[in-house]
Amino acid sequence: MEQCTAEEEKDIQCQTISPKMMEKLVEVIVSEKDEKDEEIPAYLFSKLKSARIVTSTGHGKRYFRKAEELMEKNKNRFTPWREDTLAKSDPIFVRKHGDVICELVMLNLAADKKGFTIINFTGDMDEQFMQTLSSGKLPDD
Amino acid sequence: MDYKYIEQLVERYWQCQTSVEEEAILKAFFSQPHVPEHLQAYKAWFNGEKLLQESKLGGDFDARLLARIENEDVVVKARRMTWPKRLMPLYKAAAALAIIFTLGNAAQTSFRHPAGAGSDYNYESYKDSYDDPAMAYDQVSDALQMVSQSLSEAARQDSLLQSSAASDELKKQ
Repeated sequence: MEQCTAEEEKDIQCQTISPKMMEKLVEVIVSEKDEKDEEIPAYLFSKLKSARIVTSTGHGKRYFRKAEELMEKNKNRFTPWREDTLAKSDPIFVRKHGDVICELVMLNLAADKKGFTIINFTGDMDEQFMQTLSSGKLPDD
Repeated sequence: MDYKYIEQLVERYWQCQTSVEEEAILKAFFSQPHVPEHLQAYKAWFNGEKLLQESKLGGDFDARLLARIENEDVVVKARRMTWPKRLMPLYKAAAALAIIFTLGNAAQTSFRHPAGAGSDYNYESYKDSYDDPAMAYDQVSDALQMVSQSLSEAARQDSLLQSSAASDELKKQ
């Protein structure tokens, strides 16, 4: 695998939410449910086990290409969520155990081709989870 | 002297065609001291039974056998059994039970926890980027929104493509 230079590494950030933090997060959401308007359905969080978000502010196109190559290399493990999503700017790949998605990876290249984001969720993401996300009814910030 | 009759009897004997009387004739013939040269080979066969009957154990056979048995030195070795050796079967049984329980537990664990993403990732090595669940919530929310936008955009484009294809079809008709 191609290694990043020190300068390139400065551009990359990885945010990790461990399973323990995810549990805490769900507990907080459940306890504060009545106090504030529900923004993102708690159901979605309850289906997640961990999250990793890798962001890059530069060399986005190169990272995006590299990520796609890696996905192609691991095509036995990850399959496109839908074949048609491959044609779009944000390909989504999933890894399944039976009917349940145990891992979801989304690659996103910013419009300026510099920014790049990888979103990696693990958990038990079922059909309802994906339908809720696909509905486009999640509130924006 | 013509031994043709005897030769025929011998021949029939080997073909199992002789009667009891004919076999008695053969036995009587071969038991006599003078047997012609070319029939000598069969003498032992037909006289065998008689020889066996004649051979008997000597009168002192029993006495000699008993004397020999009594003269044999029978060495009885006493082995000293230490406590660990005495308990060895118990240790073996305990070890066997331990192996069975270990394997049973391992099998149960693997059946109870079906392989998920967790089986591929060492979550213990995950170092949280946030100590505050509220900040983690914001980060995960943003990520969920990004995925949601991408999925809904793809769905919207699909429906546009489908409706465009349908209208093209209608125009052709």
